[in-house]
Amino acid sequence: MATYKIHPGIGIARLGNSPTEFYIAPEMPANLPIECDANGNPMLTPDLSGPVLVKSFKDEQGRIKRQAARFQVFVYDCDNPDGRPLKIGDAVEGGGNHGKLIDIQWRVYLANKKASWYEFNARAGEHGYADKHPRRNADIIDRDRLIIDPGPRSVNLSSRRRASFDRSGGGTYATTFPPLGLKPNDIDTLGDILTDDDGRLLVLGGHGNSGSEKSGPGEPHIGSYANNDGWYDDVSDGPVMARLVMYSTQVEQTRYIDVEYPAWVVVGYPRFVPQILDMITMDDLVYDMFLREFADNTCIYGRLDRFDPPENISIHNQNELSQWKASRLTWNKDYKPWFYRDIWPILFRPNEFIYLSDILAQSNFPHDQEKRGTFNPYLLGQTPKAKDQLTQKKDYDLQLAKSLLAGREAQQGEARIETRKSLQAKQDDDFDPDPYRPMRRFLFDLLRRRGEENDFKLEDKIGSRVHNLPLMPLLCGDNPLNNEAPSKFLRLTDYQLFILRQWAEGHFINEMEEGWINGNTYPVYFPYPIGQPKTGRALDRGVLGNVLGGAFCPGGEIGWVMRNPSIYWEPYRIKADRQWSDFLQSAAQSNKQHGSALDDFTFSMENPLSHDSDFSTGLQPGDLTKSMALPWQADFNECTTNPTNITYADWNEINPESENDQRLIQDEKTWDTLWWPAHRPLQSNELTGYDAKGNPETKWTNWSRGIQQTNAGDFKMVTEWWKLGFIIRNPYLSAEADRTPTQGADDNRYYSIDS
Amino acid sequence: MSSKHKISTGYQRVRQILNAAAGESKADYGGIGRFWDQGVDVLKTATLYGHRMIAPETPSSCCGHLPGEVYHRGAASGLIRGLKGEKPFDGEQLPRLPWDGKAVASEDIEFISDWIDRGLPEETHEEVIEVHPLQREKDEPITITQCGMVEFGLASDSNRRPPRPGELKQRVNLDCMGERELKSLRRVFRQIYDLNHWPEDRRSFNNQALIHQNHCQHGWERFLTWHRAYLYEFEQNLQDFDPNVTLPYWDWTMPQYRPEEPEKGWIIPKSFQAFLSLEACEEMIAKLNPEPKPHQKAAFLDLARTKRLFVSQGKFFRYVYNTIGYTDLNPSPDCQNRRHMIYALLESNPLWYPLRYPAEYKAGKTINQEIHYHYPSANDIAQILSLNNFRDFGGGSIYDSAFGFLDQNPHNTLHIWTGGENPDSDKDSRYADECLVSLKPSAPVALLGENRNNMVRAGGRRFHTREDMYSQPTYGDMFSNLTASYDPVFWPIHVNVDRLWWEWQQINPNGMPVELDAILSPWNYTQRDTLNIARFGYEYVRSTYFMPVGLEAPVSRFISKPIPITPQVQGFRKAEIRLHWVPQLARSCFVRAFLNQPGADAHTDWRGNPHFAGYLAIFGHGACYGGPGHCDIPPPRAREYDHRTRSHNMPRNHRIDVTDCARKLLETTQELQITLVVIGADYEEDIDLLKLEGVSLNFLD
Repeated sequence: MATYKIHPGIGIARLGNSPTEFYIAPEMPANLPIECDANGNPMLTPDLSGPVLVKSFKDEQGRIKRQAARFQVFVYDCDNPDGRPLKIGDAVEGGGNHGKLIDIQWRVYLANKKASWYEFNARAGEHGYADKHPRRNADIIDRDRLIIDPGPRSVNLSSRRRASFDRSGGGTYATTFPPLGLKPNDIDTLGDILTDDDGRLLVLGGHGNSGSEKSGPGEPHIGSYANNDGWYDDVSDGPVMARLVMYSTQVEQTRYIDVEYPAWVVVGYPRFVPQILDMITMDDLVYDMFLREFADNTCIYGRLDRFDPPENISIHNQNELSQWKASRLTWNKDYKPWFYRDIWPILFRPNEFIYLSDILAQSNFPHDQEKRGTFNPYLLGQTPKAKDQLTQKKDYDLQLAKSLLAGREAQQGEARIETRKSLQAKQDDDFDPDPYRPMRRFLFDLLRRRGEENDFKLEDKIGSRVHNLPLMPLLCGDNPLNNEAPSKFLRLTDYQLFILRQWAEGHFINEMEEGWINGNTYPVYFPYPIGQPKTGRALDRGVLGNVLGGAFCPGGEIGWVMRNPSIYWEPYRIKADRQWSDFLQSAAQSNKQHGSALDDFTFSMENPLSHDSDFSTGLQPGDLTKSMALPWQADFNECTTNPTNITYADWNEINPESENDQRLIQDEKTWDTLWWPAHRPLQSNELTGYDAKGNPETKWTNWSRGIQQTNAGDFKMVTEWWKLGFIIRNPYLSAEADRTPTQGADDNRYYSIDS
Repeated sequence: MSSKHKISTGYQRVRQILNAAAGESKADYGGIGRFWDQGVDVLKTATLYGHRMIAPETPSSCCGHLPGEVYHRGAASGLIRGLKGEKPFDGEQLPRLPWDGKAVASEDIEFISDWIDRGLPEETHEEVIEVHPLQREKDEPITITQCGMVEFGLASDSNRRPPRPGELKQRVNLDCMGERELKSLRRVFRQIYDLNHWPEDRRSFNNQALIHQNHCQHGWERFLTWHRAYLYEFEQNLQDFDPNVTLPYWDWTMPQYRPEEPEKGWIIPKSFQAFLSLEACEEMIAKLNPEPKPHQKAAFLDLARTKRLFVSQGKFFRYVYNTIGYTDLNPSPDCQNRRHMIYALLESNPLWYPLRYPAEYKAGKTINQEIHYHYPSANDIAQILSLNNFRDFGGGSIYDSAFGFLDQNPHNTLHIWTGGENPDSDKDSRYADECLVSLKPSAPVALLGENRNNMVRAGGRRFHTREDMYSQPTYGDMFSNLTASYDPVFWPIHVNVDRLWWEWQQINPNGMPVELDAILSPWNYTQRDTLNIARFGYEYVRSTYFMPVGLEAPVSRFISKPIPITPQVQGFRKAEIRLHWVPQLARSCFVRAFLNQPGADAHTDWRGNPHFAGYLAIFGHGACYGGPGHCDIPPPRAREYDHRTRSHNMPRNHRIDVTDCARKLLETTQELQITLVVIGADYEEDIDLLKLEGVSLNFLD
């Protein structure tokens, strides 16, 4: 029996102020977006081997093109257990009918609930809001008008290829939009949908318009990074549903069947650095959660002693899943991550930030991949060998010498680490089967673990692993601001820490050693596969790999709600309130009526869009983005660095003045901590021209010049965001560059373009 | 008798296969290199990134290997899983074997797997294979003496079990019912037909059917809930006359209905088809005018003796007219001979109904051609059961008045299928064979399936009067909601719809109608009240066999008589043995269940034994510390006004899942014999412990 699923389960569209131009979202991590024509059909390379990737992110007037979230239906059946894209003309079945696919209907419902939602305040609300927690626009009595509700829209391949989420409601739906006359920009649409020639759906978001309905002296103004009464913006999110239309020769009739479950679209702000990943991507975040909460891969995380063969937990069986979760769950100590697929991309990522901020250069390149060898993949990737396998003594000696050197470098003088032991213990004739273990161990020990989110350094704690070195990653956490549930620093996910531990202990596989990848051609210094995802799951993950996965304060595209298992129906699929997500008519009703209406506006709805969440029933349009900053430009502008108070682990705010505590004033410490440079760069190379050979020339400069880190700067960002440059990987680089370590920001691997 | 076979053990061939697939690869397999190429001993112990390439000879522990499963060393080996690309060699954790080489063909994998099963023989040599004419088991005499062992037989009065608190009644598969159960069902239908003489008696069939005509809910979410309540009310009404009767379900997707070409299958259940009983036949012959000729009489009696079945009256009359040759017969409602025959058919089978023309459509068309609906297959039902919200499965709410798939098709289709179009509604119709082709095509019927209510005349009908039974309407009564419930086949169809909903509820426990508080008129049930069928006292099983034992004395060992299992029962989803009404036991014990091994005892090896079906453990209650009567079994029903909670000594039921074993045995046999062995803490038989009221064998869909 065949099952039909929309992929990606969560698609990402992005704002742009170009009125008509757009491109298709990248479907693999760190890949460039895909060029398409005005109908959303991807452009193919001349040899038809794949899509053309985007070179310019702005239209001729310099306005940012929108990014379309593309959705397609995959079929899962006996022949395709991992799914394959469904094509018009394929045989389909469902609801007790079978026939030939002749059309696909899509239905999308976008909304923006930000102005009616609770005020954002760090982590308050992550586990439910207290009664006293204030709402945005608390003085507004008619709350319904605060929700931007353009109604649902449907398109298909045959009769209606395009629809707009605009104020008009297509003439048949009474929309709710903010009043006309917002300053500086009105909001008249939340976006558009269209189908391409293959029946895939493209969802386009808003144009980046934000404005305040307040007038009078001092208005409009921005007074906070996250909450501004009177303001609206045009980001949105909502469910995406598809209905297959088939012709059944058996009964000579058209028949209809809906796909298994809705997908979801989220509209975010532009991804100005498409090829550099965040330290924790949204895929990293949710994958870890799906392992632990949804038994997503019981080879990796599961019941003690039940890893091999792995168990199959049917996650839609609540009893079975609860039973699984109540049992003795653990990480599989026998699991072996792959160095180049799993480990190296984590270690590689932080050094990329040298192209996005001055801070790493000013800190003497702590993630250097070559000069001092601390992050040298060829050393870090060597697996332990059994002693009797080491037949070539001279090779070994060479390695040992390197290892000792590396170990010495790795110590950085102060750390009390295992490297010291290894320096002393070696005898000339004593073969160390795993000379790089101390290096791996050192890097792993530096990592911030669960429960250490508020520790800057471990200092002299009992059991300290790395005395006096700051824990990593040294990026802002979910709450470096106030004293309610502080979380000063970001930490890697449990899954990431688990595989890094396996690696540190020598339980890993090096694909080059095994011959699975070719050491001469593998792009070690751009270790992300380029191309098309092969399965629906790969598409789900690929899309989310380009979304910010932390820290959430409130975050980039979407925030901490994403790590709440309650909002998922299954991994990579948001639980939808089916009354809002599905076609008004059931597919069975369409069978009966010999037709499926495209205009099915909400006469079905007894109530308007809710001002509350109901995770038990499912999410409504607008529920994922409603907790994000309003307008988005304010938080986006301010998320460069944060002066995090590290005096006390448990406190972000201390008040020594109140008791004239001079000793405390003396001891107070802060650390200027980066937020997420790959989503909000601080500095960059800027393309200034080309030299005689045609190679780009650049200068290192601030990325958003003239826009201050103040509320006034936030207000400027509302109108200036689209003038910022896109920072791309230098397209003139030779393939060799992918195989050599970076030489620092001035090697021009990345630079900002204004087109 | 034994014979010698020369077989190739094939280690060389294994090497050859694997080396060819590995090709030029330099993969070093975590440092162990080409582990298959270094002799059998290396291969036997090779471990690749923690995974044993060759599984141990016997399962390493009970964990991860369920009792009763057959252990295949080859299939359990990492090498075979790796070659097949099964987890963990699915590319996620490790790539398919051999690394950096070509995939091995499946027949070669089979060969290697068999070779491992054979114990990885080292070299090619001649091997003696002992071939016995008989299976080993039969060579050995059964040493257990059977003296004192009673074989328990099936309950004599149908398969119903004694009513006990919490014991549900079984709605069973119509096609798996025995003649005895069918007889009870027919009798009780007859009883409430007879009440039709008193028009104001609410218990009469017509008054029960009238509820549907006036109140039934279709095309939205109350379809399933309303009909569940309706079936319950109707079933209770039947049980007022015979408490053992339950409503059976018709699983219309079973193979005998040939869903892919349903016109060639049974069309409707045989128990609902027309036949003549000998008594009714003789009575009928006496009334016919002119009197049938002797050979015609003989042919009529032969029909009755062989219990020849007819799907519809048209089929019966054409047989009488053309084959028996009794031609004083025409389709007119006034034709007296036709009336006598319909009367006789109704007397013979109360479940048959004359205004029912299954699979018959104008001009000989099929349902696909005429109605543009198709008969549902098992795959169709699987698709519908895979829907994951209630609206799509069962229908939408008042704000979303949408059909659910189960309601629209198959439910509507089965109404249309069983109702059909009357081939003899036309005044010019004749029973002669050559007249069949003259049937006129019907009016344009593009919407026939959708607007089936418009097609049927309900006003002025006097249902279930003989006058009505002799009429020649255009459509069968099942064709319309207004008349459907007057045809007894309405019930098993709707019971099956209810069963499918119940199955869906197991998969989708949170899937339910929107308006749970809505009242289902004309009763006072809310939709919420109908969600759990246990409240209504029934469960669904395909077939059930009850063997009474009695609580008087402990059973040392329970052995059933062989239970014949009909082919219709095959294809069950689950088989289970239930121990009914077991009082608290003084000591803890295991109960091991064996099928078709009557000699099984505490020392019978269960490992790898195809007759071992499963076990359960019962916790002993310990010695009584109270005075006389303290641990007596309480009466099945509480005294009046005794509202205290259930006594802890209330006997209970236990279940053993025997699916795998039963399925396997039924591949080669058509009966099952249950042996239950009670084993104490010392692993010896405890012959003075287990008491129970009965044992049942149940097959579930």
